[in-house]
Amino acid sequence: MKLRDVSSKKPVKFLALLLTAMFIATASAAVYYAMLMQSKATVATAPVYFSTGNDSSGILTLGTNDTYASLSLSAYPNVTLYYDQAVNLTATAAKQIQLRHVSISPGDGDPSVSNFTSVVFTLMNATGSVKGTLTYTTSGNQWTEPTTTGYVAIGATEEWTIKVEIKAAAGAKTGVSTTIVIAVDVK
Amino acid sequence: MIWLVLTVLILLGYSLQSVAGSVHYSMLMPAYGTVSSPSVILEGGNCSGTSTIYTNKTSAKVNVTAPVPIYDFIDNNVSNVDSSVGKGTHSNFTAQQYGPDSIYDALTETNIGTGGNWGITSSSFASTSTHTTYRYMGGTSPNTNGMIVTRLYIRCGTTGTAAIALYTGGTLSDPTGATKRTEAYNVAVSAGWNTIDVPDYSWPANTITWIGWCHSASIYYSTSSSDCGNFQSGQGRWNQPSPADADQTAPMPTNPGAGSFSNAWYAVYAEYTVLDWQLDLEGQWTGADYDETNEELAIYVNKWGNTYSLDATGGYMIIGSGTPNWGSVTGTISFWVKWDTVGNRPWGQHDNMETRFSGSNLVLDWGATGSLTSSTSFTNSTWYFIAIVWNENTDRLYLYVGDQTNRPTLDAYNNAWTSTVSTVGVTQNNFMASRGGVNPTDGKGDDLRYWNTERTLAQIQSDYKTELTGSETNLRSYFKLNNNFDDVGPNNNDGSGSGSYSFSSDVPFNAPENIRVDVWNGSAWQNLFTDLTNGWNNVSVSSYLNSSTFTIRFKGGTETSDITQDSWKIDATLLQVWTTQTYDYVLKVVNQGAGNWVVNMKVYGSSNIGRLSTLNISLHDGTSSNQIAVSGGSIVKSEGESYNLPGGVNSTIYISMSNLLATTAGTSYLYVYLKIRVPNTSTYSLYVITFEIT
Repeated sequence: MKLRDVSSKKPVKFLALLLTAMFIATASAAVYYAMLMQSKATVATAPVYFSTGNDSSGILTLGTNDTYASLSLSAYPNVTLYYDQAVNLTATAAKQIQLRHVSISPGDGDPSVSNFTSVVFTLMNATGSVKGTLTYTTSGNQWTEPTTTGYVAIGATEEWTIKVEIKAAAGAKTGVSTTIVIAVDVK
Repeated sequence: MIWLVLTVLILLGYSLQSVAGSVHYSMLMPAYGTVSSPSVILEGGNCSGTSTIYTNKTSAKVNVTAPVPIYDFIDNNVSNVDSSVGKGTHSNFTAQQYGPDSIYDALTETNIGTGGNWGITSSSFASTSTHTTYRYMGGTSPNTNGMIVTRLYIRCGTTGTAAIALYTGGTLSDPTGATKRTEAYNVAVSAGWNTIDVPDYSWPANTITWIGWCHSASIYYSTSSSDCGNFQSGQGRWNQPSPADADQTAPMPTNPGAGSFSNAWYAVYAEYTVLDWQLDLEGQWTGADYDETNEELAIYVNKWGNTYSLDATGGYMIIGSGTPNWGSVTGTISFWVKWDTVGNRPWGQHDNMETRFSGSNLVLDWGATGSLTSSTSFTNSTWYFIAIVWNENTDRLYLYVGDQTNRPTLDAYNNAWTSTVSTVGVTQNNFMASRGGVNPTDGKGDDLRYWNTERTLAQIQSDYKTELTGSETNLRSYFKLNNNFDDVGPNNNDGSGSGSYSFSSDVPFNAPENIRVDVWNGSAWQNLFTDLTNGWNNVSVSSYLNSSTFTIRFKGGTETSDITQDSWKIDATLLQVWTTQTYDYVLKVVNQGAGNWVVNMKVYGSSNIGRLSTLNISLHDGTSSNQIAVSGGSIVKSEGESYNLPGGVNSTIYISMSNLLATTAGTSYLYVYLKIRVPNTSTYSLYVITFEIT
């Protein structure tokens, strides 16, 4: 089939129209180059990543590219243990971030839940101002899970911290544990 | 065809990425929480029943008792440990045995001045003579402060009439420059010594003084210079030959005239009293507790304070409803006044009982027009004290004038005042104006007093710069004018203001002299306070309170030649003794692990701590670190410094409470965090400790 014949068929005409529309959609040179730059930065390193705080020693494990962090916390019965700087967040570009609940285990109904009283994650900026809080509390064997904090702006080169307060119930059994997964959303 | 499809797919993917617009990603953070036992726990202290450790040993309550001082009020005022004569008076000693409150004991100085005579007091003279000229004899007054001449004496050989006066000034060889200060004339005399009352005169020490006289009776004399007494022996009497026939029924000359000496000394002298106001009053405790660690003498003083004056700027004060009649047969009206513009009428109740000005001289219309005119020429912007004294029975009308630096003295007098004020009635009784607001004077007035008695100069001088209580004998109405028109005298004629006026803090006198307090150490007095101030005065007496008997004394600050009477209000006098409580440790902080910790304490709440005088809560283990301090009912240190709690099996530090003392019974709470922190981090836990202090 000759190329002239191909272009005269309906599918080919539709394709040509689509290509034209795409080119029109990307006609702005500025949008085009900004997208390219973003794409390159994302590949190199995350603009917001985890870093160590004053209280990270012995409790914090960072993952690849520092975009994953694991905390191992102690919980004392009937007393709150504070990690004022459990893990920090370092920004290399102005972004918006939020804390979001992902999962918790053991889940509601498990008897071991009652061994805990509360776990609080507090997002704080460099001056100590609270920017968001995720508070987990228990009532019997039920967790009360928090809602997302909502996005807040973090400036380029700023270093924020996540404070953790954890408290076990009076008479809690030693060795009982819980896993709370939260996410730091960046946009 | 294949190439075409691939190109389209690539372009489509690129387009979708562009539409997304930005990077959006999430970083997961799992947190694994595991229950474990804290390595640091609380344990009980060594004070039985003071601490309760709660579940998991991470919180505790401490219950301790705070001692309260013993308040032992003074027992009596009749001791005499130094065998001296007490001086001064109490108004209400029992008022010192409770309070502070509105009832107080006024300590008031008494006059211990004895007085004396100056001149020739000899009764052995044998010769008499009768002369018709004025005679004078002079010398130097005694070296004594606070003298007031009250009487003059003359020894006559026969009956007759005499005039006699006291002068100061001139020289020892010539009285012509001297000025008459006080006198009496047309006085009937008889054979022998004659005592002649004269208006009180404040006689300065070491001052050239002359006594002058004339008479129709004979008078004893001596020509021997050894009989000169206090007069100068080298000169004798001064004879003023003009007029040739002196009139003993009329006043003596204001100034002696020219004359000459002759060697004759006459039996005349002056009698004076000496003002010396002193206070020396003992107070004593018996059965005092003298075994406490802390022992204080505490005296509450309520000093009077002349805080305001009436500032009249066209307005004036109405006494009572205007009707109070101060026209008694005898009386004294006194007040302080400071003119902005000298003139008009500072006080008056009737056109025949008022004060007014003639030029800059004050005129008294006292029962009649122009009864007396001041010798003082008043000026603006000076506080003057003015006292008007009258006695219809003796026909005396005196005007005394003083100011802030000079005691009142006799300014003008009329010994032949035959008018009466007891019959004139009252139009309207006003201060800073007269009889219904006539001629209001422009200036400030203060401390208006009305007495229904003829006060002596000594009495006037004793309290003219002292605020009175209102209950003094013969005081009928008394207006302090301390921001109100209250009459604190028994007449209780509270007044009111009219027209333009205000109250001013410009006052003519204020606090009394110092009052000191001494303690008896068994053999002598030791000073505790050189001056008591308003409110509580506290001083340690631990070094003196060695037995159940304890004695103090109140003593005036100026006790030599004190010419002003002072008064002080003592409201409460007590011994305050106590021993603070210390608890070596009420809790232990035990580290069961190998890791090091640092701890400190911080107050996060309190209740009813106003009753706590002192308290320190400390961490200690060889060294001590004061963490929390309470003083005077307030937390003066709310957080302590970090204290090391090293790792090791049962490594322990201690929580102590010391210097615990409360002012009253009650229950106080301190809510405290014990912060247990990993060294060099901000990883910590807060243990709650409640301190209950009963």
